[in-house]
Amino acid sequence: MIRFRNVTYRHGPGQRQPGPRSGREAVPPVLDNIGFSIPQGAFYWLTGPSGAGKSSLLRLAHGEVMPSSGEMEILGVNPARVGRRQRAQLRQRIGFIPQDLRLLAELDVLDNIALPLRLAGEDDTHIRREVQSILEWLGLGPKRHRYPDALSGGERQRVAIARALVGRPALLLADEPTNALAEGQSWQLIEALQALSRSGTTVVVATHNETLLRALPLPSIALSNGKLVHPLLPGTGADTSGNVSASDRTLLTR
Amino acid sequence: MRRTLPDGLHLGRRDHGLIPVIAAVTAIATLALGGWNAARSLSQEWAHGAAQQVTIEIPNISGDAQAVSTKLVAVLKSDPGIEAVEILPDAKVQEILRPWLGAMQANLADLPVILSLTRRSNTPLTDLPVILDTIAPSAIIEDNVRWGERLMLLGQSLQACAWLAVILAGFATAGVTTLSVRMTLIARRRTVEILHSLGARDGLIARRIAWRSAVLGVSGGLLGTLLGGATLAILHRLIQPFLDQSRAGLSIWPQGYEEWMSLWSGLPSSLFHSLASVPLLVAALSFIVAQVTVRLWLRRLP
Repeated sequence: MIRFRNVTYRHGPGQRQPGPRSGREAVPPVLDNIGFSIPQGAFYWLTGPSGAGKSSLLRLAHGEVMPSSGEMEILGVNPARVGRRQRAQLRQRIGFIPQDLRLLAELDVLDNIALPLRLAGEDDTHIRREVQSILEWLGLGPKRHRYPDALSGGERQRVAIARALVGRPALLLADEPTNALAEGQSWQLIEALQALSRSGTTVVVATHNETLLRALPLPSIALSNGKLVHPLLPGTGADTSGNVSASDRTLLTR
Repeated sequence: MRRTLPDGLHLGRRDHGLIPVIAAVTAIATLALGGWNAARSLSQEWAHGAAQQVTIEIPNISGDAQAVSTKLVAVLKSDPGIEAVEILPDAKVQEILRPWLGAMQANLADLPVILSLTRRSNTPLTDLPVILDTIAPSAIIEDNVRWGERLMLLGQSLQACAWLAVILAGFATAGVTTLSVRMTLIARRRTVEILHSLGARDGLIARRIAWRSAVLGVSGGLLGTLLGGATLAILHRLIQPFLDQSRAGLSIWPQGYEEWMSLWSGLPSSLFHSLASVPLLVAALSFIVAQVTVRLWLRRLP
């Protein structure tokens, strides 16, 4: 589950709790007083125009940056209140597909995908089995020994997706994951993410793909200029104060 | 699938540039170690040898020098602070005085009697002037202690200087390693950030980079030790004829394979062991410095 309470985020070092004379108050926040709650196993869209703060929200949820003020809880952990080791463990439980993909150019497809499992200390047999399975599913088998530079944009996107999914994360954050994919592949991916959500993984997908949003009217968090613009879809239960009612939780967890 | 962790933090060709720098610093440290070893040997030699030696000259003014010296030897031999005392034989005195006496050396009757005395170390000093005032008031003491203490101080200063050079070389190695690790972090910032975002713990990233630094350290350390050690071995061969007269005919450069090989075994064992530990110490230093540098750098990531 993800819970944000009055979260404000400003770019730059030392974002957290700026002092009275720091001058950081003058910097407009990227995210301003955001509050919402997403239950475990839910699938949410994160929508808004470019620059609305979608990527920043995902980075906060991934524990890559800390809020300047406010509280957040990711998978039962407040990243700002735990040590570095626990934050690393939290990141291992989150699959993240960033917009810039973040593939390691020095590693081939296979090693890029296997990286989260290796960092988690999984044994070779398990790694081999999981990587093999996801390579086949995403049609990357023949490209397993290619390096990212030798792949097309769509293939690179699929490698990033595979890397995010291979560790069977408890939370999946995807920043425009269908950008470089063909329409058929986009639908295939969204169906897979929905299946993942049904198996208990919380999924948050940032997108401005109107076709997808219209075809799948799922709960969404809409941002504009760093502010939450409407309290999600009617009946989805989450609101800007971060409270979720019991009946709504039932609806969300399906 | 490979067993080692392929994570983009492996050694690159650019990293090898650190090896000659560490080798040069290590070679300097090795030479300083050699200097320390030599200073220590000399200091010990002075402390246990020359500084304990006293020469007493009894002038033969009234012709009773021989009787006085016999009496003096008897008194000194019973003293617990004296290890050995002997009257130098005439032949020895003659040999010592040859440059000054020349053709007159045949007439030894008026020559002084020379007593050579060795103090016992770790015992209270015998008050020689009081004994001599009583038995041989005209005796002259050539006490090596006066300059022996100065020599010991000199030896200790030389040792301190050599240690200082070793410590400075250590600091230089640490500095070079820090710089190299920071360059690595700048060059591979993206890789480190990606690993961090995937949940790699600080310890894992620091350990990977520290092992790279240790490998570079041990390589540079080995090269530098071989370079410095070979120089010391040649120097040691050069001073052999001064230490052992039977090796007076030793050629400057080793002749043949066996002599080259024996260069190393000829080094004092304490120095040899010190040199053998240098590459490992450089590797350990590089590892620790890299760990600290990386962990501090990673603090900027949440």
